[in-house]
Amino acid sequence: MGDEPAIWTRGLRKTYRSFTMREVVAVEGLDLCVPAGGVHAFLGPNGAGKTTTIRMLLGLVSPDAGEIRLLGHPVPRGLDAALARVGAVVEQPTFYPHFSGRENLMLLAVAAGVPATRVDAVLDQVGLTERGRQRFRKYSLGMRQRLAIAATLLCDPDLVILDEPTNGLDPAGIHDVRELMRALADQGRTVLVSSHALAEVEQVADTVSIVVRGALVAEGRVSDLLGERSGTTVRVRVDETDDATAVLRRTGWTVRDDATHLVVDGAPSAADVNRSLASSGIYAHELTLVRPDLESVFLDLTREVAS
Amino acid sequence: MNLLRVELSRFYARVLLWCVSGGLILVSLFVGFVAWNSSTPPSAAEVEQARSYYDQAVKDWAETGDQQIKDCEDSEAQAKQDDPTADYGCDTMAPKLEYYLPYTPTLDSDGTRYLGQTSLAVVLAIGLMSVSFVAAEFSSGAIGNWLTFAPRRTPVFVSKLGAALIGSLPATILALAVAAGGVILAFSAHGLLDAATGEQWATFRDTALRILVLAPIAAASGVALAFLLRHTAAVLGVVIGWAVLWEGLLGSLVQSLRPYTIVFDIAAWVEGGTTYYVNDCSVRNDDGTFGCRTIEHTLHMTQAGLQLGGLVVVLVVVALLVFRRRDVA
Repeated sequence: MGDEPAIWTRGLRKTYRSFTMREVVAVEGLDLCVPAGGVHAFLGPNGAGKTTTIRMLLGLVSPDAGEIRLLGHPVPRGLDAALARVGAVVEQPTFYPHFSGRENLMLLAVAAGVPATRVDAVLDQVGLTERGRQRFRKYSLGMRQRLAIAATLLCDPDLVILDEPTNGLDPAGIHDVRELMRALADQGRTVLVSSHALAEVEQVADTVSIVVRGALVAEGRVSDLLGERSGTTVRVRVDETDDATAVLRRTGWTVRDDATHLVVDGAPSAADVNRSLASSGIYAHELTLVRPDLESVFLDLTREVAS
Repeated sequence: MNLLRVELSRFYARVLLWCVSGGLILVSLFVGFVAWNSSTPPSAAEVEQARSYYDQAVKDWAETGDQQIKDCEDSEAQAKQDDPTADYGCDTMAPKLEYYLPYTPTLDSDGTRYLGQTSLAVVLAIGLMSVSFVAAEFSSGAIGNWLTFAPRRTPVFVSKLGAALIGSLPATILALAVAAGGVILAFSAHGLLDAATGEQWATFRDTALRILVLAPIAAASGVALAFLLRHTAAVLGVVIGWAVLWEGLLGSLVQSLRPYTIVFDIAAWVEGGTTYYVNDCSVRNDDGTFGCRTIEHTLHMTQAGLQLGGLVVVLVVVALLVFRRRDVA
């Protein structure tokens, strides 16, 4: 695929009309760049425009303005060629309730011209081989999610788009999906995952885009994004709380008491905090460097935009 | 062809299809039942009573027949002043036995009428099957997933339309076979087929074929409406609204609009043409006032067929254009 991004959008905009004919902006000038290969997390609060964006990528919804390139193909002009290399499930997995999981995949396989052997392979890949002949309406939400993921893999895609793939899955299922996403990325594919499970995403995503109110607020490697936000925070447990607070504040750091620990912001490092306390004869029982996680970055960013 | 195969599999997997088909067969059985009851020959007692009425009428006619004919001819002469073609049938007033015997049904007139009773049921049943087949995909969101596998919307539209057209035929053929079989069985059992001519059989067969043609018309309309409105309930609402306002209210208030009502077009198509009456109240009387006269019009089968076909073509084209451009949520 070369240097061509898997997904590229410029100035993507989509508005809807409400029942009262009021214009509602779902996506506002979105510039998205998902590099080829790896797992890319597509994050945003509810109503941020994630699903609308995915629908525009897949040609289900027409943008009011902007450009889209999917695996190098312009959308919608090159949609046929692009979607032949894309596997996607948008929002709730919806299949035909009277058919078994396997029959549902067979229908998709026939439509896409994929051999029947591929159906068994993807069922096996998502752990549904034994339940494949059960009717879809009898499936639990977790099984439906697995079947949806199996459907995305049918055409052996270069780009997999998963919208909230861990909804309804138990911890083992979530782990399996995480492993599957990682495995797909390791095979050289691109996985775009839209999710609210930030902790899960953080464990598997290489890059991330965060959208708020239809616009991009952050994009890049997960490690870079966390690094940018890493003002050092240290949690300290001491016996002499009042004295320690006074000492640390004298050095110009912010200190607050969270009942069990002192939380110190602004120190260059944990060692500086320790040195400062020790020089005043106060010795810490516990000293922990608090690292920012994706959730805190996400919450910071969304709060910033909201305010 | 692959898409059509898939859509046909889905069409036949729908529970509603089997329920509606079952309902359609029940209607057909009922038609056979009605044909059986209506073609039962009169009992000996009924024939005896008819003879006694006839004998009494002959006796009365011998006494008053001349006067009745004279009165009739006077009235006819009066009417001919306004309308030279007036014919009161004065020369056929003498009683005849067949006037008093119970009516004997014929295959071309009554057999086709019984068969024609299935036409509206066919239209409604096939229409409902087709509407729900497409609308269910929109309301469940399955169409979105489907379009990621088959992104070209015109083939998707055509395959769904094709599946509804082909898929609805077996239920229609079976329902018609049951209804036609019931009518033939009833007429045969009651000895009414002995006198049936080849022409009568042809009329009966043509009626059945015209009802069969209604199935693809209903299927295409149902698919088009579902693509346009996306929910079965919305389609039912529009159809009921149309039926009440256009077919019912306007069709009965403005008689000249009757040829443009769907129910009337269906009747004209199935019956090989039908008549309707329009009051013309622009006739000036001798005293200067305006009077009314009733004018008989004929809606020919061809015109009815063209109107129905034209409506379906417009619906399908509009639905395709809308589906190609509209967002899929």
